[in-house]
Amino acid sequence: MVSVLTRKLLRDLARSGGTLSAVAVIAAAGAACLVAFVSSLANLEHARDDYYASARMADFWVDLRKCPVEDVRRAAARIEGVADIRARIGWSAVLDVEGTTMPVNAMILSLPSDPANAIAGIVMKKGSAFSAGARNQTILSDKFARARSLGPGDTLTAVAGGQRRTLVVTGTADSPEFIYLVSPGSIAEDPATYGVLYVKHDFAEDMFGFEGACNGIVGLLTPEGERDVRGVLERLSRELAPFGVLNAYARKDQFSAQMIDGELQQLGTTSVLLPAVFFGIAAMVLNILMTRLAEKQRTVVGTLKAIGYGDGRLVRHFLLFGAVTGLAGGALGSLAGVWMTAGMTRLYRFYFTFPDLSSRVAPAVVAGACALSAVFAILGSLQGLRRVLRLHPAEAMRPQSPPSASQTFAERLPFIGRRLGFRWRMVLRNLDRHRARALIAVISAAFGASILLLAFGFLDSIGAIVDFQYRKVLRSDYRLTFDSEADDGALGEVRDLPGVVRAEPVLSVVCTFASRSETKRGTITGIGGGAELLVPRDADGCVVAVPPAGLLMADRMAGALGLRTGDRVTVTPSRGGRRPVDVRVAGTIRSSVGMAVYASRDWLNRILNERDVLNGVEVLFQSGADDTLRREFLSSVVERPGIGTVTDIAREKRALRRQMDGALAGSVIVMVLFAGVIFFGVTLNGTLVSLEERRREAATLLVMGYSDAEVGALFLRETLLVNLVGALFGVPLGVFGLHFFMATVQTDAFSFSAELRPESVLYTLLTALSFVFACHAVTRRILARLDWRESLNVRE
Amino acid sequence: MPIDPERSSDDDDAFVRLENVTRTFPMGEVDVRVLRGVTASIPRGCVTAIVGESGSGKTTLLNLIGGIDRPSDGRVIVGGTDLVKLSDRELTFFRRNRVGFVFQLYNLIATLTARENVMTAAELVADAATPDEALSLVGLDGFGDHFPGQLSGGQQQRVSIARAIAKRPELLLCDEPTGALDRETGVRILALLQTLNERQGVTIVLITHSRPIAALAHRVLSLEDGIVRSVRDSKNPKRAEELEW
Repeated sequence: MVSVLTRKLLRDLARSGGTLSAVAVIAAAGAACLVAFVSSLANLEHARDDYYASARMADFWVDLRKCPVEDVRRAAARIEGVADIRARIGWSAVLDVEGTTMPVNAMILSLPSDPANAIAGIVMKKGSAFSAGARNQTILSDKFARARSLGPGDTLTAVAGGQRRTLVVTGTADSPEFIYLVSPGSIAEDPATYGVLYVKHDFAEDMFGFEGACNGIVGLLTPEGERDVRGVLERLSRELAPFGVLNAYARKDQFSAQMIDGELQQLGTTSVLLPAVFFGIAAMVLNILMTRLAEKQRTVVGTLKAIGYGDGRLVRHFLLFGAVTGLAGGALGSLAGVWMTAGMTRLYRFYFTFPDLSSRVAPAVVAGACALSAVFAILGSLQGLRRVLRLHPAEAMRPQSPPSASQTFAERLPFIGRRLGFRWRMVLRNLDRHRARALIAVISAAFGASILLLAFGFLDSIGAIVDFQYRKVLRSDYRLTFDSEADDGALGEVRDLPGVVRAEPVLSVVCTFASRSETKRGTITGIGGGAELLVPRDADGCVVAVPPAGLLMADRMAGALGLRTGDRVTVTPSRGGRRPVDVRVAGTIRSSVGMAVYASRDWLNRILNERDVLNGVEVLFQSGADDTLRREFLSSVVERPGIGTVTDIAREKRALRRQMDGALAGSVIVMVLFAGVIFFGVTLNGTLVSLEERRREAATLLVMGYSDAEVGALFLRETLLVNLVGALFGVPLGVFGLHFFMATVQTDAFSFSAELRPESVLYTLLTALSFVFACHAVTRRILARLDWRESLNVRE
Repeated sequence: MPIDPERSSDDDDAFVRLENVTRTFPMGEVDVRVLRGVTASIPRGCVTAIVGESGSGKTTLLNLIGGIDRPSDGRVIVGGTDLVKLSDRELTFFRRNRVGFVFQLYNLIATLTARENVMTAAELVADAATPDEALSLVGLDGFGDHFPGQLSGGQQQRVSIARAIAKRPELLLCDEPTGALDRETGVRILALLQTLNERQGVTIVLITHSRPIAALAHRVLSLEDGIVRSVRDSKNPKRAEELEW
């Protein structure tokens, strides 16, 4: 049989439905975030680990100029820590697609004739692996094949290393090496313009003249080797130095792995922070409600105590009140979390290529979310509970003494005090009377506003980055890279191509920068003195001239190395003689994107003991050129020997924009929604509690001749003031959050700065206020339904 | 202003006319008829007491006269205005400009001082008395800065009356104004109301369940089970100080 107290609990819960629902919804947002982020983190991690294990993801990579495979094997065998290696040949290629205005690039990678169990191997998606017959077979990366509508049996023409080859597609596959695949130099994926072409190793040997040689190593480490990756790579680089080591890096520095690790790290941070904010706010709001409930039920509690109910039963009764609310929020949030997990998984499936990424939610995560929600709710109920326990039966059954009021600090101020009308005085004194409640509302509004600001800040930062990079720094229409270093003769040839208005040489060299405290890898971009197509600028958009000698370093890079203008840094280029050079940091630029290091091309050539060498060209194309001219240009480029890649800058910009917008749109909508839950939930709760306490006051004013709108406005002033103050505090909190989050997406390869337009602060405040006004509409409806006659004689 | 007791209750000088007024409240599955065809009038410039047992419909009748509630049937005409025909907005203006209310539990706003409480009413109309004038009229000079929590029950009721009269209303509706006060304080409040009626000519309707208190009224309407059982007019009502209850 249901006990009397349980019946009371159920009826009290039903009666407080409106206010408790608002708390439950805030807790639900916390539980939803927890379930969604923790599940997505687990799913992504699980999918990655499974994939890495099943397809033997490499632990390290070494890029070489050219090295006999036997030497590679011998060197690897000599070095402790290396478990296994695979020598391969990799080459960038341009695909000759007839009649296209869109350049298509690819990376050719060699695989053993039987690719099963190869290190950094593939997982077949469609068709079959290589067959014994023809040598010119290729397996395409699946996403690229789908984007270009290619499948088994189709053919394509690749131009690489000065060779033109027609390849027959045998199948499509994915690889753990390219879970996130972008063309070199870009950060946005565009599968229609970039893919991987796996070819038989002997075919690659033949095509590139690499008989018995390779230009890349992928390898696995022993457990001991994993503990000293850096040492293993250093030893391996030393052993292979005579063959020209261009780059040697561990899995943590591999681009695709880095992107996934970054995402996992962000998920990890968010899965703690966001639920904590929501559960915290739910607990604070429940604190208001339970304290009010304790006041309201004074007489009931007194009577129950008087007739012999012990403290233990009453504690259980009131704790259940909070726990039920928390559990309801947890359950509701878990459902939403399952839905959110599915949405996030869809997004991850779109950007990351996993053979099996499912949207699983472990029962333990749901149980944990519900339990945490209940625990926070119980914590929020404790203060109310303390009041219940402190009540002495005799005292509890007497009506409470009338509330006292006094002038507030603001009213005593000589200038403001006199100007305040009674309405504002009422607002200030009410807030003063319920300081804890006001503080909770301010804190909640601050968090709500900071979430809004974060959402707008993300949009601003991405917008600023795209604008900065593609409108100010990179002003070319096409970027050409060469297979190997070329000279000014190549530049002249590019200038003569149809449609080219201007062509500027670029020499990019991957280097190791060693300061006294730190060592980092980066790329020095050598440009000409009067460069107009690749223009270093500081964060304010001002052009910064490249010094005739020394480096112009992004402040983030300089900061990471602990360097300042005038300091010296040891640079070891991965090309040329690869001898370390001590160079001067001639200046730093406040860069909003990337870890760029610029230098004069002539100076860089001198460092490399070269003359007039370049490995890329930025091209300005005829404005308003038609497709015929573009087709002509592209086919001429493909014909030219030594071309590595051709990039359409406008398309790259569009791809980046599309990807960022796609990834951000969902997050921004969810964040605005969550902020709305906080503002709406907390404000509605505060107003409902306030209305309940001041029902007679409202009824009296209505009877005196005040309209619904005028009485509503009294409550609105209070919520507006509290929310506005909170939102103002939320602005710096949001700015801090924005910097914090942007810092978590920073890697050695690139970094974003947090950007915030002043109008976004205004939008944050306006959105916050719009939630308050939406809530006010509900208050107005409640006021319109208020039974004045009954309320007039309510004892407060 | 004493009235002629010989005149009927629907005389021409009536400030309030109630014509066959009924009021039914739905209470769960049944409808409760609280007023069952009340026809009565309240003379202008007089004190009228409505007496009756608890549940007789006194407060419901006062609410209808004050435009807080609408009758289920019948007409309520106050100062020539048929309240039944007014929209919610017009009823708000009616209460704002023509009626003052005094409540049993004073209904002061705890966070406002006495002066500010009066100001809530004074600023609703153009030719209102200043809060200090109104407080002075109820004998509360010097108490303007006190909060309700710092005043006695009698003083709080005086503030409530000051708030009601600050608008210079034609009609003052008082619901058990001494119900929460001791006798001595109650007498002072009633004397104040009597003085306001005599000096300012305000029409006062007073609800009380105490028949001795009704003795200060020029007209007494006795309500029983939602109908007017008797109307008694008095040429020389008692002074508040003479009342015993």
